[in-house]
Amino acid sequence: MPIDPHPDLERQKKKWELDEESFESLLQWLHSDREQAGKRYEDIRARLIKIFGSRGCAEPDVLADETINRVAKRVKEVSTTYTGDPALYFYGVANKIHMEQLRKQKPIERLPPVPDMDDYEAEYVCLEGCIGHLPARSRDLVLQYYEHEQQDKIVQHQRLAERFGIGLNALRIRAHRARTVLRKCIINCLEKKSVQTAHAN
Amino acid sequence: MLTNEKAQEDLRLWLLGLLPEQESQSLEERLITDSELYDELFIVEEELIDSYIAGRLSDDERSAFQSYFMNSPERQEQFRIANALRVYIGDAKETESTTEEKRRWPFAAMSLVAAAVVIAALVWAWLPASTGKSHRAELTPGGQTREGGTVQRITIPPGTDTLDLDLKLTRNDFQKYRATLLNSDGGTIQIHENLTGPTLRFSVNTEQIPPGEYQIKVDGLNTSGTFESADSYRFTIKN
Repeated sequence: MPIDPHPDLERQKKKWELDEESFESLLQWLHSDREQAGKRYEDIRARLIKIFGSRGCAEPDVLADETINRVAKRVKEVSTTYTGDPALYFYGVANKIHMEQLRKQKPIERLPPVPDMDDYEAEYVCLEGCIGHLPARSRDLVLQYYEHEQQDKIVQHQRLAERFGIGLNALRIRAHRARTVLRKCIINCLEKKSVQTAHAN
Repeated sequence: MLTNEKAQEDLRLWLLGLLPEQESQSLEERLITDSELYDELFIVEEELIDSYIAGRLSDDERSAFQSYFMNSPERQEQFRIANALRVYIGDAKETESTTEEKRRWPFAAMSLVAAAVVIAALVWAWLPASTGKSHRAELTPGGQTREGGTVQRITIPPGTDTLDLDLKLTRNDFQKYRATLLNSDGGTIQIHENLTGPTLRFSVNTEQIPPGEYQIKVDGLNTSGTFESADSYRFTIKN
C-alpha cells in the first residue's frame, strides 16, 4: 500500500514544480524513513531561512526554497558522489545563491526603523491575555526570570535555579521555552486581531 | 556541552553582523548541522533584544543592532513583544508592591500616622517644603565615550521635584533625536523620543535619580529612518 504523502511535503513539491522522481530522491537522500526525511527537510529549510535572514536578505524563504530546488535537481548525481552531512551540501549551494544575489546588486532596500519604545500597545493587550494561558509555573518563571537587571538578575537567577533544582543554563533554556510559547500565543492573537480589523473595514 | 560562552558571544556578534567573515562561515556550518547551537541561537537572539531595550549594548553594538539586526519584520515584532513584556513585568511588580502595601496598612496604620506627624514636623523645621520646584542643569557631551571628557556634577537643592535637563549637542545633524537615560549599571531609566536640536530639553522626576552616576545616550534619526549614535553625556547627582 502506498504511503500517503506528507501534506507539507506535498505543498513544497507543488511550490517547486519538481518532478516526482527528483523529489523522492531528495527525501531518500535525507533519510530512508519518509517521515524522518520530511522532518529533516523542514529542519534544513528553517536553518537556511535563518541564515539568509541574518545575512540581511530580503526574502530568506524564497532563497531557501531556491537552494532546496537546486539541490533536488542534482540530487541523483550528488547522492552517489557526495560524502558527509547533506545539510552541509545545502549550505554550500546556499552560499552560491547568496553570491548570485549579491551580484544582482538589487537597489538597497530601506531598512525599517527600530520601533519606538512606546510602540507595544497591541502586543501588550495580547500579552495580558496570553500570559494567563500559561501554566502557573511557567508564568511565574517568565515574570521572575525577566524581572531583574544586572547584579540583581544574577542573584535572582541563582535563587530561581535553586528553587527549581536545576542549573543556570537549564533555567535559561526553560525560561526561553516558556517565553517562546508566550510569543507564539501573542503572534496568533495579533494575527486574529488583524483579521478582525480587516473584516471590520 | 556544545554551547559555551564563546559560542554565545560568536552568535551574538554574528547576529549583529560583527563576526569576521571566516568565523561567520564556520559558525554557519555549525548552525546548519548542530542542533544544540541552532537552539542556542534563538535564546541569544532574544537576549540581544532584551539587552538593547535595557540599554546594555555598547555604542557599536547599538548601531549594529539598529542598522543590521533589525532587518526583518519578524525581528521588529520580536522587539515589540520583548518591550511589551518588559513593561508588563514592570506593571506587575508595581501592582504587587501596591497590594503588599495595602495588605500591611491596617496593621501599621497607627504607627505610620504617628511617624508621619514626626516627619512632617521635622521637614517643616529643617527643610523647605516640596512645592513642585524644579532645577535646571545644562550638560555638554563628554565622559566615557568622548576624548578626555569629564563627568559633570549636578547638585539638586532640597525640595526639588523635577530636574530639567538641557543637552547641548556637538552638531545638530539630525531632525529628531532620542535620549536614553541610563543608571550606572547601564539599565534604562527613561527614554525621550522626538527631541529636536540644537539643545535637547526634557525633565526627570528627581525620585528616579537618587545620588549616583548616570549616562545619557543620544541617538539621531537619520534619513533612512534608523537611529545613529550622536552624543553621550555622563553626570553625577549630588544632594
